[in-house]
Parts: sequence; C-alpha cells; structure tokens
Amino acid sequence: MVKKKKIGDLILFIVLCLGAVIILIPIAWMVSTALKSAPEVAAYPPRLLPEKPLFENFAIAWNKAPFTRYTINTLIIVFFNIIGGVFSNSFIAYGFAKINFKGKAFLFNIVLATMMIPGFVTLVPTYVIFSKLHWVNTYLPLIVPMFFGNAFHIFMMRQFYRTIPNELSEAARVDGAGHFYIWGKLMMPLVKPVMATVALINFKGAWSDFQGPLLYLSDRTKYTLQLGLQVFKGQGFTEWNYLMAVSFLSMIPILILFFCFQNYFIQGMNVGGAVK
Amino acid sequence: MQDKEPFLIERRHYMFGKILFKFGVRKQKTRENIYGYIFILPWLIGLLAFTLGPMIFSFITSFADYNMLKIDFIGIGNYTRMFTKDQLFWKSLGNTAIYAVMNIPLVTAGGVIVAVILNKSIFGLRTFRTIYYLPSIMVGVGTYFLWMLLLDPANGLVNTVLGVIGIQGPAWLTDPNWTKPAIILMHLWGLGGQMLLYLARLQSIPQDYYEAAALDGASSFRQFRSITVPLLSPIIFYNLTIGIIGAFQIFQEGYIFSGDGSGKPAGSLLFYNLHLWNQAFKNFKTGYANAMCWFLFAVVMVMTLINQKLSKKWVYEEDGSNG
Amino acid sequence: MKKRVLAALMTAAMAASALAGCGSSAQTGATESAAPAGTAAGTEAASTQADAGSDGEKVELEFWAWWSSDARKPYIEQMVQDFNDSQDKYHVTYVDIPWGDIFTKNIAQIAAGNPCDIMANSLSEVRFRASQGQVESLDPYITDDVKNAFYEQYIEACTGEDGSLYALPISVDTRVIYYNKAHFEEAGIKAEDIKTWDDLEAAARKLDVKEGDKYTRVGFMPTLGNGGVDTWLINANGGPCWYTEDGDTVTPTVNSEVNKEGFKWIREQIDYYGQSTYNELEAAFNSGMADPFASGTMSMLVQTSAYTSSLAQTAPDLEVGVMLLPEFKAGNGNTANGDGFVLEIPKGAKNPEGSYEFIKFVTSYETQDFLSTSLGDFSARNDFNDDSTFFQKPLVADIAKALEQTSTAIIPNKIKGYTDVINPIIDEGRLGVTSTDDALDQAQKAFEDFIASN
Repeated sequence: MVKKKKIGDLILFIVLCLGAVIILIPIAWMVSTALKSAPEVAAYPPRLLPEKPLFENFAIAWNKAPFTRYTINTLIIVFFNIIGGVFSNSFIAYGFAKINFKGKAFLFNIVLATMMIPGFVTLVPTYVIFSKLHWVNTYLPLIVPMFFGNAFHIFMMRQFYRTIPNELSEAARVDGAGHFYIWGKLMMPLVKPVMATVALINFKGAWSDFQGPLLYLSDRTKYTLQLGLQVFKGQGFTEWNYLMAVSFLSMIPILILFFCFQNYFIQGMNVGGAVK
Repeated sequence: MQDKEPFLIERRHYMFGKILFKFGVRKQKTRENIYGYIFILPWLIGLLAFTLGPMIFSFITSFADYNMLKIDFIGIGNYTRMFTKDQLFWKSLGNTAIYAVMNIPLVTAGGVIVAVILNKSIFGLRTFRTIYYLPSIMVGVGTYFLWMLLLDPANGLVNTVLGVIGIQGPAWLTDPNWTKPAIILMHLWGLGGQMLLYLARLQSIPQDYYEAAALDGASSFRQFRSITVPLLSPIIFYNLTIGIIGAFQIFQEGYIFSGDGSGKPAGSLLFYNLHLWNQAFKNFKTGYANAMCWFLFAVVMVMTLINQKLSKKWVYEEDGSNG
Repeated sequence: MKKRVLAALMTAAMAASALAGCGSSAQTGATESAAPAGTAAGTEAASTQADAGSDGEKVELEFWAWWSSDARKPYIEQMVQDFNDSQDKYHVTYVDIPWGDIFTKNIAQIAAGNPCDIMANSLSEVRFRASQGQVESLDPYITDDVKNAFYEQYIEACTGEDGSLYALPISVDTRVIYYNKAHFEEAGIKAEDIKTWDDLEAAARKLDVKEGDKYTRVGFMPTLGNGGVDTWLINANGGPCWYTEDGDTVTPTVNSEVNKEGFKWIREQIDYYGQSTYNELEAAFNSGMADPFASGTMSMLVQTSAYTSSLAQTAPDLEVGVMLLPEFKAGNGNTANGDGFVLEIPKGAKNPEGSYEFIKFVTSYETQDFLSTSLGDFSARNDFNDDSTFFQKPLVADIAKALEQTSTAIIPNKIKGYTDVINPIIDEGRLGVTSTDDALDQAQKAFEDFIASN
C-alpha cells in the first residue's frame, strides 16, 4: 500500500515536471530572445539559443527610456488599485452574499450584466465622462473606479463568502452583532486568501494595463511601464530583444511576490475550524 | 431570527444598529435592507457615475446612425441589418460559438485537475505552484508574439515536441482549421489564474472528509467526485460564468494573430467582438456596432441565467441556499 | 483590525484626493495652453489663454504620431524643434502613441471635444475620415503655391467628396521587389532581365535550392512580405482590381478574366513549393520576429520602402537590390499599390491656424528633404530631383521609379468596408481551400450583395 502510493507520487512528480518544462519553454524563449542580437532574432529558421548571449541587452533596453520612472509611476497606480480593489470588493460582495435585502437578485444581475458589455463599446462615452471631469492626463481614471468595486471580483468574492456556512454569521447576529462587525471581525480573516488573490489580480491588472494608461495619459513623465515598452516598436520594425528584456524584468516583481506569499493566497479559508 | 435585541456582544460592535434603532428602524427586515444597501453602496455609486451612463448611451445609439460624432436615429434598422444584410455577422458569431464550446470545458477541467494535483503534498510543491501560476502573470502583447513563434509550423517548439512523439503538427495559425485550437492551447497554458482560485478553496476542505471517505473504502476517483467537485462547485460555477462571458468577448487573440485585425486566415479568427470592433473603429458604423453589442448581451445574459438556473442542481453551497 | 482597516481607507482616500488635486491642476494647465489665442470660444480656459497670448506667450500645440523608435523619433523631434525655432508664435510638442491605438485615442478625444492639434494619419482614408466629420478642412489656410508643390494624385487623395482639402501628405510609399544580390549573382540572373511575371517565375526556379524534399531556399513567393493577392491583381489591372468606378456607380469586377488568370498564377507559385512550405514562411513573417528574406532563406520579397530601415537592423551585411514589380504581360506597366501618410487637423482642434503653420512647415521642401534623408521616406512633392542628397542614397532612385507607377487606392466612401467581406473569400483561394476561380466568383457575388444591401 505504502509502496504503491510512493510510485504514484513519483509518476505524479514526473508528470508535473514535464508540465513545468512545457510551461517554462515560452519563458525560456523570452529570455533567449532578450539575449539575442537583432539579426539573430530575425534568423530563419529561428535558433533557440543565441550564439553569444548579450547580457548587456538588459541594461541597454532599460536605459532606452526612463523605465525606473515608469516603474515608480506604475507602482503608484498599482498601490491604489490594490487598496481600492481589496476593500471595496470584499465589502460589496459581503452585502450581496450575506445580507438579504430587497432587490438583491435584480441588482446582482446588473453586476453580471456590466461584465457582458465589452469595454471598448463604452470606451468613448467613458472617456468623455473623465474628460468632462478634467481627469484626463491624471491617474484618477485608472484609480478611482477601483474604489467602487469590480464586477468580476464582486462576483468572485461573493462565491467565496457563500462557501462560509451561514450559522457563523447568524449566530453572531443572534448575539446582536451588526453586519459591520461580522464583516470586519468574523469574515475578513476567513476570506483573507481570496482578498490576497484579488490583490494579486489587481496588481497584475494594473501592472500590465495598456489600454487605460494609453487612453488617459499624454504626459510622458506620467507614463507606465507598458506604455514605455512602445519605445521598442518602430514602423515596420520592432526591437524584440529589448522588448523581451524589459518585459521579462517587469515580470520579476510579481513573480517574487507570488513565490514568497503564495501560502497566503492558498492557505485556505479555515472555515471548518471557525465553525467548530 | 427573533426581533428583540440581546446585547451580548460588546456595545461598540453594534453601534450602527443602535443608531438605526434610535431613528425608529425597529424591524429586523428593514434594518437588513438598510444594511444591504450600505454594503453595496460603493458599487451603486460607481455604477451610476461611470458605468450606467455609457451603457445606456450605447443602447440608445444602437437605434441610430452613429459614428461617435453625430447621431441620426433610424429605428431598428441596425438590428434588422444584422440578421439580413451583414454577411459577416453569422460567420463571426459562429466562430465565437465554436471557440466557446471548445474553450470553456477544456480550460475549466484543466484548472480543476491541476489544482487538485497541486493540492497534494509533493516534493517541490511551492516551486511547482509558482511555475504553474507563472503564465498568468505573463500578459501583454509580447506573449502573443511569443506564441506565434512557438506555434511556427516548421520550427516552433509545439510542433517539434509533437514531432518527437511521432505526430506531424498542423500549421496552427496559418491554417484556418487550426487557428482556434491554437488559441485554446495558449489558454490552457495560462490556466494558472483559475487554478489559484480552486486551490484556495481546496485548501479549506477539511482533511477528515477524505479520511472518512477512505475509511468507507471510497476510491480516490469517488472521493474526487463526491467530495472535491461538490465543494469546489461554487468556484466552478464562478469560472463557468466568467468563462461564458469571456469566451463570447474574445477579441485580442483574433486581433493580434490575424496581423491586421481582419480575422485572417480566411476569416477563421473573425470573432464577434473583432467584427464589432472593426465596425465601430474602422468603418465608424458605431451605431451598428452597439446594436451588435446588445444582441450579444442578450444572448450571453440568457446563457448566464440558464447557467444560474442549472447551477441549483449541481452547485453545493454551505449556506444552504443555491445559485 | 477594524481600526487598521479604517486607517488604511483614510490614507487611501487622502492620497486619492491629493492626487486629484495635483492632477486637476495639471489638467487646467494643459487646457489653458491648448486653448486658442485669437478665437476666444467663451470658455474660461479660452479667455485665460487669450490673455496669455497677448502677453506674447507662445501657443502650445500637440503633434501626434506613432514614430517612437530610435530610428525615427530623434529626427521627428529635431523637426519639431526646428519649427519651434523658426517662429515665435507657436510651440509644438511631439507625442508618440502606438500605431493602432493612436486612432482610438484620437477619436475619443475628438468626441470629447479636446483633440490634439496635428495628427498623422493614413493617406488612403483621408476622404473617408473627412466624410465622417473627423477632420478640419484646410481650405481657409491653403494657398495655391503650397498645393501645387505636390503630385496631383496625392492632393486628390487628400480632397474630400465636398471638394475641400483636408490634409497634406508627409510621406508616400510604394511596393517593390527586394532581391538578394549574392543569390542573383550565383544563379546568373540580372534584375533588369526580369520584365514580366513569367520572367519572375523563371528566375525563381533558378534561385530555388532543394535538399531532399525540402526547400532550403525559396526563390519567390508572391503573397509574402508586404504583398497580397491584391498587389498582383492591381499590377495586372494597372489600377484598382476589385471594381471599376464610373461617376457614381461602382461595378464589382472581382471575377474578371484578368483577375482569374492573375490569381491562378499566384496560386501556381504557392503550389509549386507546396502548401506546407508556404505556411511555414507565412507563419515566420506573421510572427513579426523572424525574417526569412533577411536570413537568406528567400531570394526575393515584395516590400515597401520602409523595409530598408528594417533590413539595416536585421541584416546589416546583406547586399540587396530592388526592382519594380514586373509586368503581367509585356507592355502592361509596372503598377504597384501604395499608400502614404498625411498630417491633418482633428475636428475641434483649438488652433487650426497654428496647426496649419506646422503642417506647412513639415511639408515644405527643406523639411521633406531632411525627413527623406534621415528616415528614408519618400516625399509626395513634385519638386524633388535626382540631385537631392536623398537620391544619392542606395536604392532610393530605384524605389522612386516605382513611385511613378504607383496606384493609391482611394476606396469610395459608399463601399467602405467591402474588403471585410471579400478578403476572407479571396483568402480561401490563396490558401487552396477553394479553387481560385471559385473564390473570385464567390467574392464577386459577396461584393454585389454588399453593394445591394448598403
């Protein structure tokens, strides 16, 4: 029995390794492209490894535009996106998941409905609104809406709240606790991993957003990383090696964040423990 | 639920309720209503300020000859045009439906399976989880171009790997029959985001459920079916709903892989939203594009509601209520 | 916990309002500077600006284009600097926004009533944009001496259906065949001997190299690089290939005999190498990274004049020559399809006189000479001659010859979007899904239906 399990684990391990290799190949390709010279990038048939890796490409690429500045700008947006996203969504989703109020079903369907309209259909009218508010060329259009919840995340957090047994909140209600108390004191600790997930998604979203900054920022000193990457794209010719170099560098922070805090994302909502 | 208020919990935790009480809100039900609206208030404000206006505007202009600068009302002309005159309407809807039918189940099932595997205790778990999550961080246009290289029919790594196991790989993005599978392959690669959600839920399933089942002699497949899947079902339901909405909104892949946004090769990548985009921003038939948008809205809404109704049969919720 | 949450929310709110503060002040600044000097529109910002104008302050203008690379941006900025130095009424700032997205942003800003002042855009769609009310007319400012300095066909392209001028061309483009000189020498081919499509095919056969059943060198594939089915059919027709225009009526000619013969020839070239070879090469070009011509896998390639600057990066040592697209039949002409870029004033721009001054400066002989020499673009001006510095550069004189036989397709506004309908069907013929004749017949039908339903 034990032996069988061990063999099973070994097979699983090998399968996982194979999967990991497949997943890593595109990233390896990205790094190898970053290390190539322009003719090597264009080489046909393409070669996996550069003849002589040009590590200086990373430095050259980074200095082609004020990427340090762009990184700071992006981090500002990311910071507010996370704060706004985590609190507004967990708050709003609690309302939809745990409070029975009139019109809830209808309003929740509107939440769903707002997800079904592709962003570019409302792009121009939305732009006009922000323009009238004089928010164009500021970070506000990229930040403020985050404080009012995001339909996808409201939905997601609602689903997680609903995996928490109602006895928990009902018991607290019977004891006279208000919903603010239940949300802040009882529920928040339980959905922490989901909040962390929302934070991560918001980080990723804001970090890699291209359309938003492009539309709303004109002043070059306010540019974000993704906008900065455009410096490598020319008319009919793209400096792929540099583009990949900076793309790779810009991935690293999220990677480190995830590796270090992954237990936090997936430690599990210890609901069972709380009920007992 | 009883109507009297026992103050067993420290008073500061009940301040808001007390205020409501003072203002004469005595009924539990009314209080719940007020609480509910306070909790969703941020969303309501955001909806009214930023979202609803543009949505209504796009609905109104779907009845007009509108090119983003001038509006000329024409009644339901845009809607009849869609079904009777636009030669690309059904093609683009068909392309999108085919893609959705293939993509949703594969990516959902893939996400669950990977999450279940990565929930076991295996050597190097932490690293594996990071690696499997990695692709979902790699967003941005660069990734699409990377995949175009990987899917290169002669020298791409995908076909090279297939060649090793003796399969002659297809031409992927240049063969109209293989463009959609190519996109799905790319999405399978990036299912880490979904996996993470499942993993978060899986971690909270008490181990003793499985132990009890094992004692009863349940096979691991049975355990998966009768413990894992039901407990994951709220999250599966979420991903399924998002998946339907997302699949019908596929755009970027078609736009980039076809090079010029035309849906090449042979229109096989002309997805509904790409067609819509071309109408709105290339031909400036924005009123027509908005009509297309609201037709799709109706379709997806109906599917979501059906999904919601069906979910009552299979989504297991701890709080007893369903859907 | 609650306290901490509250504190975090407070900090966030405070920081957000701080951002709003500095943000909105910056915005006010921008509006002020963009507002008109003379034409006080009655808004507060405008009146502030009028005051500023009378104080002798410069009027700020924004110039948008997509040139962001090292190879171009420094020269564009130099040009802007030269304009700013040349007069003291206006100050232009160059803003580079990626191709594609720039048009989305432009339309959003026009809709919001706050567009940039000068915008680069495509030549072939000036007329369409004008009909959509996206562009300001240049008629109030244009003078004959400026207008007459351009080739007529380009001014024609910049003229709306109402007869007004809406833009001036900054550069024009055409298609030629680039060839690998070493391959030609090795195979004993001279470019000037390739006069017709048949000559081209014969040359390709001499250039092919096959190892086993795989081609390691491909002489020529007509629809790769920057060539499409339409490139060749326009060449065969000596002008627009899918329709004829007679006054107000557009008649589809998709399945004409010429097109059928031409398309069949294209398909034969692909079939010669086999679909899989074609797919492989096409995938390589589509990725935007690999370039089989630059790395010597292909001997000839249809490309635009911009390709020279790309080759300078990807294959600095490659010896290339260019030749005109050959004639379909002897005496048929070497027509190539081309396009170009223009500068225009988006609708609602606050300082059209200033915008025009800048456009006039950019399209002047001196600036065009500077741009051509430094960027390799071709000018639409008719007063360039072979003595200019630009023409002394390699390949330039050859490409200029092609420009003389270039057809710039201006799609009539009423059939705008017809290519969306016929291209997927033509594509099926190109890919061998259907026969070329069937593809053309079906596309003809689709085009007729399209016209009927519009």
